[in-house]
Amino acid sequence: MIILPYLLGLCIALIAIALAGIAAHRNLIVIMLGIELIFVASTIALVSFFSYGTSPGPGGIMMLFSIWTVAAAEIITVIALYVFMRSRGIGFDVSKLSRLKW
Amino acid sequence: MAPDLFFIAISMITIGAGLAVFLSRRLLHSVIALTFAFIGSALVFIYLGQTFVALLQLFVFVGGLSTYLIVAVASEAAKENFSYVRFVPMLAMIILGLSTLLAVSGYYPGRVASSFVAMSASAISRYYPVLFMLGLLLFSTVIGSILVMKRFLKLVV
Repeated sequence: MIILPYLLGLCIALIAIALAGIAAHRNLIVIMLGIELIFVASTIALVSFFSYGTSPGPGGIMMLFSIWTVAAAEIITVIALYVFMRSRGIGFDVSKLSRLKW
Repeated sequence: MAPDLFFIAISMITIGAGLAVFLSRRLLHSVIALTFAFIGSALVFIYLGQTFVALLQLFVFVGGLSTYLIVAVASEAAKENFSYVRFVPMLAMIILGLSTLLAVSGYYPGRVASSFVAMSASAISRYYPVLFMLGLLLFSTVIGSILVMKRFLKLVV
């Protein structure tokens, strides 16, 4: 059986790939895919602590539900952003979104 | 204790898929690669003996991914020219930083197996206001997105 550091190593690799990809890309959809990858890594870390190490308890379950909820909300938000940016003819390049204005 | 071959294979699939999300040239390929990353994470959960979590993970993310796929297929925009010069050093730096953080923390406990399903029952009874808030968050996100899309539909129709 494997032990916790290997699982945390997997999470570190996924988070590092996602952060580097988010920093290197300017496409909105790709950035959101990177954030989804971070959610996956955090879920793996949390479930690893359920199986190995100190159990997070019921509070950990709520954290897991929160991660899933935020991931689902992010998907909804990115679709709305996609439609909005297409309607304004902005495209997917986030570097053009220089002003936080409606 | 060294990890066994199955875990190494699952990790390679997940990490390879994660890399392919950013290194593939087409947006659709990125989405398909993310699907493999989700499948890899579900396999990790099955390997850890948490099959219920694996099932939930697939339910949540397959639903989301189908939406992403529609967007990726619908969009005709190609990805921008990707610069490996920016990506590779950044990846190395982040891996180094996070690994150092893990090594410094020195947290290597023994195995304490806990049942996800058994704890879910007590979590639902104890934290039901939090569940209500999460539902409210999701509902408000849906309403907000509908309002944004309504503006777009007014422009089109």
